[in-house]
Amino acid sequence: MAFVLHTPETIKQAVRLQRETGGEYLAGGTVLLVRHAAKPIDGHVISLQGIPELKGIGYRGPVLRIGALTTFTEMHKSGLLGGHFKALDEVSRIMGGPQVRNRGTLGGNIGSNSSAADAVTALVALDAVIRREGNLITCIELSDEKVAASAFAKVGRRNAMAVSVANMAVARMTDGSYRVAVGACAPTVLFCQKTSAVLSSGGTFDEAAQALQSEIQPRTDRWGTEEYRRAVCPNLLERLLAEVAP
Amino acid sequence: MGVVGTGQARSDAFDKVTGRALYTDDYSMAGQLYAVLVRSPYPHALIESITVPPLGPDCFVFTAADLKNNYIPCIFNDQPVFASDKVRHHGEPVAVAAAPTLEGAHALAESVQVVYRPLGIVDDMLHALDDDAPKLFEKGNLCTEFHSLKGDPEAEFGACALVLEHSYDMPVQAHGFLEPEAAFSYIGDDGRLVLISSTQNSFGDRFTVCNALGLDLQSVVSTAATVGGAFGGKDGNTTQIYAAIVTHFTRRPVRCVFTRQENIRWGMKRHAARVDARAGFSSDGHLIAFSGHIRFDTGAYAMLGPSVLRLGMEHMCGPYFVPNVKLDGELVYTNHAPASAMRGFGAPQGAIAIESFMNEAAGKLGLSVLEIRKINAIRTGCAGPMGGEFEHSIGFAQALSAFEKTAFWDEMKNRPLKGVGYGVAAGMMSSGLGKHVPDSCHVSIDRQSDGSFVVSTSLIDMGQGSATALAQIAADCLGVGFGQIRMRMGCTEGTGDSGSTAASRSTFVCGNAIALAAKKILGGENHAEARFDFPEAGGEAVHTMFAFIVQGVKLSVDRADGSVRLLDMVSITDTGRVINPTLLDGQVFGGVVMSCGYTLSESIRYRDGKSRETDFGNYTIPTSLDAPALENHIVEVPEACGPFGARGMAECPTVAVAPAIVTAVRSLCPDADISSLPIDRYQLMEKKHGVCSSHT
Ligand SMILES: Cc1cc2nc3c(=O)[nH]c(=O)nc-3n(C[C@H](O)[C@H](O)[C@H](O)COP(=O)(O)OP(=O)(O)OC[C@H]3O[C@@H](n4cnc5c(N)ncnc54)[C@H](O)[C@@H]3O)c2cc1C
Repeated sequence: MAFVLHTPETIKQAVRLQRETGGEYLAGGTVLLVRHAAKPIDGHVISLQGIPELKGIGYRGPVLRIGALTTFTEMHKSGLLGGHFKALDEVSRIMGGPQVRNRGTLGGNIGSNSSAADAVTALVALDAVIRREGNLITCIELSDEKVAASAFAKVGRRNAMAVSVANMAVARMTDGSYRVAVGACAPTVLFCQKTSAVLSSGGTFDEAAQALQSEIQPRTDRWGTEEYRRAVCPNLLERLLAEVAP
Repeated sequence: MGVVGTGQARSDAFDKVTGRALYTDDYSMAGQLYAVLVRSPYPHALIESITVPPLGPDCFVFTAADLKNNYIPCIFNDQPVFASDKVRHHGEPVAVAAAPTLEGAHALAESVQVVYRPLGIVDDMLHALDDDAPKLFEKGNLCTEFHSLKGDPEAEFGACALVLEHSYDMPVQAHGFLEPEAAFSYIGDDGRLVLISSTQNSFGDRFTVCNALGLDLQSVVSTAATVGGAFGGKDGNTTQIYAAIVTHFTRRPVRCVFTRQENIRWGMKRHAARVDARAGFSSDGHLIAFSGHIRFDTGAYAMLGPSVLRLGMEHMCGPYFVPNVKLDGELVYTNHAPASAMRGFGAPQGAIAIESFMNEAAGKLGLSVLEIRKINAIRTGCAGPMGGEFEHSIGFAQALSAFEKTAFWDEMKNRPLKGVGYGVAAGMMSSGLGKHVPDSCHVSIDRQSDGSFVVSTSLIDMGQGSATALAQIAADCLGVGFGQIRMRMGCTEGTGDSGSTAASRSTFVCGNAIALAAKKILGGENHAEARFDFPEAGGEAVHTMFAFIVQGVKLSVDRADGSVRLLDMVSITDTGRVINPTLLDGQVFGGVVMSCGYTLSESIRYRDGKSRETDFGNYTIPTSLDAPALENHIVEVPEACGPFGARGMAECPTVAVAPAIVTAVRSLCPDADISSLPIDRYQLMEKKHGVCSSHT
């Protein structure tokens, strides 16, 4: 086997190539290339960079559509995330560092399969819709009609280029309910169903914090300890609730 | 008007920003081989056998069996070039494999079969001397120890108005230089082995190579390439010997460059330390008695550890006069990758104790943190902590006075901001290799036909800017412009052995040698050589000349996540006459940021003898967003025997940063127990929402 790079120009071609070769999609490469840093890539890689349909960010009616190949820099600079989608805007502003934000894409963040993927936490809270063609993520849709306000916070070991020790997004929905999502505190990014329910039904903060403790499943790893994660989550919740308060 | 004292732009700046400067990895030659190490997968094991598979063409493997002397010359000579009977740390080199491609060399290294019999490991230095601890060496795990007693501290503690006591656990720090360890070697036209490397000591490398291969010194030429940072981590063998071994036996050009993983996991490190200290003050703030105990983890081999221990002990009382001092130290072996020199050389580990005591005592005795330091500040002629006396110029009191005039101090004293923590600490750092280590510098100056001069020395500019500062000294000594001087540095050819570029010594020792040689040139010679010997300390003292620093930090703590945000850091540096204020600021700022990482985010943690940190993704040095706004001021108290009055200072800025930060954090989080670095964020957080209860 050797390294074979495919450069499809349409979504259809990309999906077909993936099915035929079993290759990996390449978006910004900030995960893929790091994963292959020790050993050269040996196999099929399907670059998405030549597919215009995957790019761009814009409204269709009340729905904000973000192409999977849109970079974090493009998202932040679009100015379209400033209002109620603030959670995703904040991720786009602070994740990684400038180089990573220039290359890294929203689709790649989802495709990276990481419980510490910052954008995924924001998307879960925002009740985003992820559109796929086969196993190719094509775009992400956020709805003005659903979200009233949102906020995101992350804790890393330093202020940039830091894997999240914990991250959290909170959205206040137009129907008055809340959606809370947490990253890096369970095997996957977690939609905190109980916490969200407590908040949505007008429960106190203490009740919400307790629900949160019952839902997260933090472990000690190289980035942080279980006890730290248990301590930081309610603090983040408190901060983010203040930010999204009506 | 001369150039000394001006912020002359660096002579290497243009070549570096345009990519013209040649780092070791930029060298290549036809027919070259790549050298890759066969490393131990075990932290502690007996080697039962090493089997080299049948080798293809252009493939080579060398082991201890190929060497004349299988050790790396250092203080104790306890470190083999290749482990042959026993490995003592994870990643220890067992053999070197070489092939025409890097991939080929890796594959070859993987094909070497080593049979190990794993042994129990020493993973915690605090248990290294336990009776049941596995022994790294037959003599046990005590590498060396140190004891010194002056006066009667035990008796005096009883009479003190205030006695403070604290212990600290200090982490392993990596140097974090941008360019990993690298060497390139080949056989020159004259048949001699040429070694080009990223190093702090080309003569030392030559000796290491000749010792291992049984060559006479004249058959090897050793040169530093452009070096991309070192900070002590390239003071000794890293890659040099491996490239040279392969070149020697194959007569082929060889490149040996460590990956960042190899650098982080197995490169030299700053010693982890356990510090126990006690200080007694009189009611008027005089430091009457001090006792300090340090245990350093040297890892599997001594390397420069014994010197680091001694210097750490010598600096443990800080820049203060103390009549009664007891110092005890141990250097212990563990199954960790060896620690050795790192900027500060043992001083930062101890400084946290004395500086924290000073701040705490000031509060308890009703003095300001500057007053208590002024009361105790050492002055020229003061007795040192181990006897002997401080013989050279000291501008510490002046630095304290200058600090008093800063806007920082005014704010801290008179209008501190709400929610902001302020911390002050001071430090001193010796310059020179210390007693019993030959410390001279050789320089030659050659007048060129165009009237310019070439100044040669084996000392090396690793990025600190010494080529520029030394050229400034040469220009003024020779009475010519800066552009008329070309520095030739870091080669074993042309000048004598000036030792390691370390210990904040280059500007002082080489500047003096340049001045001596320049005098001969001014006397009419076209070629002049000179040697300058670093003045030796008297009495029991090891070092005799010091730089001083007073630093203040301003920060806030986010109680929600326990993170520390550094706002400002002000330094007042005393290094005698300043040769180049811009370069001085660079040294201070770099040292400060390096130490912010030491205090807040950097640590190599071992689990089962293996480093959990593997690269710059998880070994988290500060980014520009983590660094405080930086400011440096100088006080110039000239040194009579220094070139233009200069003393060395490159390491000084690493000494007092941690205690300044720790003090400021404590002021905001009085309940936090900060007894280890990097500061544990968990200690600084508000924990309120059912955090400790279990949930079902
Ligand atoms: C230094 C550094 C810092 C980082 N900091 C952060 C951080 O702070 N927060 C954070 O969340 N992440 C961080 N990352 C991780 C990474 O940058 C992000 O996850 C980024 O969004 C990945 O996007 P990409 O386009 O580069 O993905 P790629 O590397 O191109 O792809 C990642 C994975 O997703 C798959 N993939 C890509 N696009 C698609 C698609 N459209 N459909 C299906 N599968 C797809 C790929 O096959 C691959 O498996 C960091 C990475 C680095 C190197």
